[in-house]
Amino acid sequence: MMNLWSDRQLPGEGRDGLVAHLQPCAACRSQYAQLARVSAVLRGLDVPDPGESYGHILSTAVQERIQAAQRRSRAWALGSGMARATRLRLLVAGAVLLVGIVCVAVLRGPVGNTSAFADTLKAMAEVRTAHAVGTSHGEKTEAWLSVDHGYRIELPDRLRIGTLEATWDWDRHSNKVMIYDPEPDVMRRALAELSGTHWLAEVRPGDEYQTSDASLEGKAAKRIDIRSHEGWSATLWIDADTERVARMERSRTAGDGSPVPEDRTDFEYGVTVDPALFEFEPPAEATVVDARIGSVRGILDEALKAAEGTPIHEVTEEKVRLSRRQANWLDFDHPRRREAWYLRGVGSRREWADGGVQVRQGRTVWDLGPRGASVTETDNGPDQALAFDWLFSLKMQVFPTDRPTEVTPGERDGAPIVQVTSYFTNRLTAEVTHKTKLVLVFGLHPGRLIESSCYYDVAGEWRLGEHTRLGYPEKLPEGVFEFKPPPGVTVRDMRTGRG
Amino acid sequence: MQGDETALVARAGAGDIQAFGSLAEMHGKRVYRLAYRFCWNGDDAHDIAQETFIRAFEYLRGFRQGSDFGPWLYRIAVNVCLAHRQREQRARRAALLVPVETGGAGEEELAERIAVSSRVQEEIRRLPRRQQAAVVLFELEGLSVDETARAMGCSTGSVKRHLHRARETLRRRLLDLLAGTADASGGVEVGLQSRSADDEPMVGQTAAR
Repeated sequence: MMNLWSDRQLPGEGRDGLVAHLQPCAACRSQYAQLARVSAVLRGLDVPDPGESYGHILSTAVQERIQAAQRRSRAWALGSGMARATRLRLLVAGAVLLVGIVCVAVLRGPVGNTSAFADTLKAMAEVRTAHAVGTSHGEKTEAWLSVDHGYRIELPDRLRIGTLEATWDWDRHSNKVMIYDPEPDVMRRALAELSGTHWLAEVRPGDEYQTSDASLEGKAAKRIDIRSHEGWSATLWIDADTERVARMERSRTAGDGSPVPEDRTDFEYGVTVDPALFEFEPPAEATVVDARIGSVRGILDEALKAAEGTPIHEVTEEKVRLSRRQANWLDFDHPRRREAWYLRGVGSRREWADGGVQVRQGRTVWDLGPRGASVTETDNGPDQALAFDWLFSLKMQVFPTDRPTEVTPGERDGAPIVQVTSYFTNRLTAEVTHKTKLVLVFGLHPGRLIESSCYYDVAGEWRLGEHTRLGYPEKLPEGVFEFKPPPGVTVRDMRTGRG
Repeated sequence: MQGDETALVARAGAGDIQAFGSLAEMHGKRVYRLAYRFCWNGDDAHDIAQETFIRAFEYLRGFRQGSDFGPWLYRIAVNVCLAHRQREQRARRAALLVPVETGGAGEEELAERIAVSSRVQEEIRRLPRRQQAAVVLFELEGLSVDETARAMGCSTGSVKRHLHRARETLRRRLLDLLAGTADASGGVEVGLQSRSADDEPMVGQTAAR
């Protein structure tokens, strides 16, 4: 009878019978209560609303995928038939389109004419293979991109190749090759490199832009002018027939105040791209710095190995980073940041010296700064965001040396610790590097990072640079993860589905 | 409305992409919600929703005109969700991100809600495939046993078996969360009322929770 009730198939008289039985029978009452609670808990699981326009967005994406598949199918019918691998590539192209649509959704604010961005991103997202030749900083630029292979940007003094395996960056003047981890989405990265979508991603509420009909080399085109409050402006021409970007101009201001023009034209779409363009062998006698995360990961592995059998064995870099509270944190990339709070499962809160506050909860980010307040939705939750901060700082700034990591057991305030000392080179700019010594102190009971010190080599002597003590409060102060825009502040809600 | 849908299905079956787009617009949100409850991730849910409609367009020629489009589409969606789950288990994706209503919640309450939701989602994901599908369709989407059976392409008896096993598994695994409910006699009446056979939602009418 209880099963019938659970299946919503117990008629009225049956319910009466069940109730009559449950009153005196404690065992059945308990079982019933637990089943009811399971159902209640399940019903309490919420699904975020994808937004009023979701049906339309999905419908558009589906129609475009079907049309693209049909076009390709017709093309294949003329050739050797549809290979399985080709179908997979089609799916990749669909995913790229999805990225574009997501970008559109994210960028679409409450202002009516934001479709300029939507059009541009859509036009860019449809690119499958392309070749662009133009000028950048007054010099010739050549760029290839291919869904199947990756991207290649060639400048007179620099070559950058990105594939699913890694990103290679060759500075021809210094003959130095930096190898980075691959961008998770090669295609997105390629589009950013090639077409300047990263400019659009930088667009903030308040930037000015307008769309107009124009002509490009005698052909009808849509012109999009963007003027950023951060000092750059860009103009894009979209071919009216192909709906693809045909020309881009950008102008930004150099440090000395002079304008720096950038111009890319002569895009070719659907070109055959030689896979060899995306292979890279470091040139002879080049200095190769492998900055991939995997190559510096051994540091913590060493620490864990040394502390085997102790609670530190349970420490991973993720746990260390994600469960701590940082106070008075001053880091390299954000010199104005003064405070950061983080609690796994709840969110993060960061404060800046100018009064700016950023609060993250789940995927939602509230930002309050001098320019106003905004609410956005990110791809990453707080866990990933903070982990990424750390990995990014390692990736960009720190590279291992041949000197082995030293692991020393010790004692602090009567409690056992282990001190891990690692040696790196630290890349401050493209040309300036320092020797760095990083000392991490792990407590063993409980096993977690309690202190980090960074020393720089100055004229052969180690000098203390940054020093951070980590606290683990039992309870956070109230209100740390609450955010209410102050009165009078203009709030733009950029979350998908709300704009 | 039903007549409109039937006409759209007929046109889409004849290759009219725009008509199919209208069907996608009508059912898109619902498929998204279903997909979300399988993967608990917005991006994946969007992928699954797209894949569902792409497949539906491919299979549309085999659709029996006059049948209900919604349940047929739902069945495809469930299959795509289950296939996605298989891929996901192989790749064992990143940590679960949990959507919860945050309005008015205090810090501790919010943390508690997130923890509970996360735990329940994880337990649902750990269920065997068919049990997971039954729980999502019946308990979360609010379909009846018959509708669940149609969406899963199995008998109602089979759905009941999956549901009962799933509930028992969840009850056992979530015992700590269920603490304090051992004697809930005060909730019996409420629970029974909310489970009456009269208020079963129909396909296409599932209320947002």
